[in-house]
Amino acid sequence: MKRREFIALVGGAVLIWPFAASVQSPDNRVQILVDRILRMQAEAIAEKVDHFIKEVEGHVGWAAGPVSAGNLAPRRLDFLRLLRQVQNITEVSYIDTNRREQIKTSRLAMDALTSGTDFSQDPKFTQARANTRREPGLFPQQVGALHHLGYRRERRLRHCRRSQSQGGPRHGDCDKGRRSRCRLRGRYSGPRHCAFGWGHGPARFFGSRPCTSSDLSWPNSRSTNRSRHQWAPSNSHLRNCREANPRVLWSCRLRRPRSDKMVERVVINLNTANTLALTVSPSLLARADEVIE
Amino acid sequence: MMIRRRQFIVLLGSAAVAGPSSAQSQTAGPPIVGVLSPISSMAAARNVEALREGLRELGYIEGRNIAIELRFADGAVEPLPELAAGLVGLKPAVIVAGSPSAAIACHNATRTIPIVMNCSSDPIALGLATSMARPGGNGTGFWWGGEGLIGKRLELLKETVPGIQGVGVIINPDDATNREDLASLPATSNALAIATRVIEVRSPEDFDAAFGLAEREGLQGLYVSTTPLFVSHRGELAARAESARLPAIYGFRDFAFAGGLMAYGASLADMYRRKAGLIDKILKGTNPADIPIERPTRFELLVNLKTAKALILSVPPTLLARADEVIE
Repeated sequence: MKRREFIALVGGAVLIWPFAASVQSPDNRVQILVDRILRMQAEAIAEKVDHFIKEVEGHVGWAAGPVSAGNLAPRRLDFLRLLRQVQNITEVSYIDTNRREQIKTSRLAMDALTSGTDFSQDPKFTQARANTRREPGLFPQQVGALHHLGYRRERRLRHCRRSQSQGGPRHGDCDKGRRSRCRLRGRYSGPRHCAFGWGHGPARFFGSRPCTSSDLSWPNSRSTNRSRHQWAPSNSHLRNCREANPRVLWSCRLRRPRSDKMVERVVINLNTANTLALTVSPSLLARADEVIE
Repeated sequence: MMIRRRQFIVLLGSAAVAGPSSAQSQTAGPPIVGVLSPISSMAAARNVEALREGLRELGYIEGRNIAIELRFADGAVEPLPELAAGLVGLKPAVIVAGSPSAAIACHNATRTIPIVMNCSSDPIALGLATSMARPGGNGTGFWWGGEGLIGKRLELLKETVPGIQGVGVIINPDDATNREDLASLPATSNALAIATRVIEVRSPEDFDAAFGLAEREGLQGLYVSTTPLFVSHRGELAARAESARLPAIYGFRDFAFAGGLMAYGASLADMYRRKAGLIDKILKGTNPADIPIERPTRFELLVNLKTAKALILSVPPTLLARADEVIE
């Protein structure tokens, strides 16, 4: 009799235990629920931060064109326009292949042209190198443009062997028969590189079709009907990019259409002004987003 | 027994008299937001309106669920302690202090009522906070010093007048922020290859002497520092600079609208709008000691082309391209 009682007791306890546990610990369930809500909130915040960073990077992409000794002043003007349009960016620097600063425009500090400041050991630069692939929530709330530019610069340096041993790639490298030096050769089916050479950054990775000036133009430049937003990378193109190099996927994403970001445009038709014998003031020209000549 | 009865009646009577007044001061009516502005009511109107707008966006309607009490010092430092004490006497839920000196006055008047401040000087150095991330006391808000905007402003002045050699730097030595600015002045003048001459102005009576000195020394430009005294007398300063044919740069947009050639600095209106968010947090129970001190995100460059024309200056297109507002 005692044995039977003991067995019944043990069996009953085994059967009832999960139910009893769930009934007896409401605090645990509340805690689980709270944790879940907090996790969801954290994910939502991380998504917001990620979106903010992407937006800033997209804006910086407008001004991240090639810089040479001859076009420092126009490029600085591009940076100034970028600062005027995007309040979230406080400072933009262009760092050359030797990791030396060529242009700096800032809201707080004095601007600099060809300062030559060495950024190779700067945490902003080295951390940008490390963060080539990122996860939501790992970045700080505000992104310096310098961080972004440094990140892209590093990606380009890895892309071409010339960068490490021969002083860095130069404008037009890809057009001079040096394509075979590229580590990515054979990965793409179509023309691989940007017709404008190395300095154009992510555009050169558009393997499924040759990139054109319309991909690269600064939207406020004196252009007529250049729409860099007309083309978006196809899924197959993204897949090719991903196979070639995980970083390339990110570069392709940067080039997705963003035409809706423009909030205001001032377009001046100088032909009409000439016909009307009008002289458009320099101040107005400076403020124009597009000038038709 | 008689004594007990009398005590009871006195106690009851005093409670009946004192009860309503103390209850009214603590609970009746909406929470009060006290604003201590170091400048005049006219100069501060835009900022106060921005604060009201920010509060409205968060659902606070003045007179219904929030009350705003304004005090103005009209550019003087001396009345600030008295005004701060007066505000503290109203038992506000939050005090908004519009300058470092106003923040110090409020800090001296109370260590319990939360203070949301505008601080161009380092709040840690002033003893208003223990760290930027966790202020630790009853003060939080905005801090925009430490980055040497004096360098940026002088650079913009030189860009406007490329051949400038000597610049007068008008400061108020009674203002701690102005003294901090002077620390970075030698490096800035070296970098820009200009000679700077510090001119001290403590009151409007010193304006004559200051502009006389600028004329005697043959200075070609002026930097007018940001201090409540100058903000309150911005019209007079701008007019004197124009009549002395001195291109000048100032710290706030109001100077450009008052006739100053150009102004570059943090947007005060934007900061006041964002202060509403901090007030909201405090009213909802967040301890100000845990609210990080923020930095301004919006900086404004204003160019007054009318003044430029009067000074026979041609403003370069690069400057106009970056200007947030051009007054024509």
